Amino acid sequence: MTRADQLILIVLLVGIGALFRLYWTPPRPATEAVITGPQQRLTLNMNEDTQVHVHGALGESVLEVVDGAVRFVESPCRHQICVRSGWHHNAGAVAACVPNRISVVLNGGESEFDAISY
Amino acid sequence: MKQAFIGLSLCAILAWGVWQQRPAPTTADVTHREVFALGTLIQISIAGDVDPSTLNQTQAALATLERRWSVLGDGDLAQVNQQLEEQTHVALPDTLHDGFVAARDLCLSSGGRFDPGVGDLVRLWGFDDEDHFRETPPAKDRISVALQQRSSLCDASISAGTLSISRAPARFDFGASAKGRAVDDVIALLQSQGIHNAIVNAGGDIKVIGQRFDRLWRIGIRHPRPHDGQSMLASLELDDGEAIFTSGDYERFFIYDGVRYHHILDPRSGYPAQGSQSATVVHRSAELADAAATALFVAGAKDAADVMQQMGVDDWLLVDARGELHASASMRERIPDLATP
Repeated sequence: MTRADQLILIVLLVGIGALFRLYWTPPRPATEAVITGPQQRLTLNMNEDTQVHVHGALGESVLEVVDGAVRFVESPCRHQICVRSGWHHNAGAVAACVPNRISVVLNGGESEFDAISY
Repeated sequence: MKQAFIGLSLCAILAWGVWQQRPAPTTADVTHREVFALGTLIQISIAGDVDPSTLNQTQAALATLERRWSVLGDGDLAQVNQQLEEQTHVALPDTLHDGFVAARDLCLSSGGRFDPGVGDLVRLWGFDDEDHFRETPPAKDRISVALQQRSSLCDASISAGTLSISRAPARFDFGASAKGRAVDDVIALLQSQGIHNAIVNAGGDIKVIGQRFDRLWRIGIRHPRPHDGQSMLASLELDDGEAIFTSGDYERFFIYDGVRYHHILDPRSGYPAQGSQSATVVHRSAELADAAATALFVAGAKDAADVMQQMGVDDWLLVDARGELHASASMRERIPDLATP
């Protein structure tokens, strides 16, 4: 390996390191869940496990955050679509109990998708 | 000199690769507004800042559209349905005319697999309203009567602002096209306000314009039976002005005696359509994509290609009742890693 080869190798390594530092960060999950009901608006830290009770149009919905994901545990709606939708952790994800008029929006991270078709 | 040139070329290639992989701006750079309307949560997201008055306008427009197309209450469609309980010729309000004409054309092109003339059946099954939810299927004879007495929109005529059907009573339910029409309307409203990079997500039914800053909008398609940590069936990018709609058996349903009864009714049988778990359609018209996703679900794998061709849909994807995947050639081109059937 000549001196020129070594120089090029050093330039390459330094260049790659600098570019990664500048432009690349790993995907990050959502950092906060904004829960909105008819009369309440709560912001939950997704890094803190917790359970909240939110009053809606029909009654009380129970939501919980565990290990960086949020879900509806209980809701007074009859179809239980919100409960069946399960855990949500991606930034940009939205979930709702439509009859109870309670929504959850996840903010603050990087998401693989801008929306989910379902 | 030659080695230096090679080295610098490699540097440039690597720099380009890293640039391609850089993260998009965070969700905080996109302005969101959530609105409960048309029986779902609608999220309007705009890449960049937006005047709140524009979002207020779209919110008001959605409230108007919800009232207009609801089978409940006293909106335009509810009033037409009320008249159709006794009359066979009804004046269509201007607000409903184009939606009725479009839906009748889609009914015909789908071979009756999409048909708003299922209003009485939807009500009988309890899928029209939260309060009508049921945990057992209706009696067979009641389904049979509702099926025989129903008026298909395929058979209706619309002329000089008058809707004519062969027999009353009739009840039209636009649950499988009004949401798409509303999404088209909201996108048009945003464009009229000078917004050209946005995504409207109506409970998982989506239309985009422009792109998210310097990349296209990325959409995941939900797996109808999530398992082993696999929650997505596939993902794709949408071009400017495209909509993606999915119909599935996993949202509104009940299980009775081990059988899943979901909300997508086959207008020809009066029962929940068998043979599909989910159906996805991509098209520039959200209204057409909405109706076509329903028609594709009802058609099932056997008739999928023919029905989609008749409806003018190139990009479609179907998961059949056994969980096997079927897709058009153009959809497979858009999603190269799609599993083979």
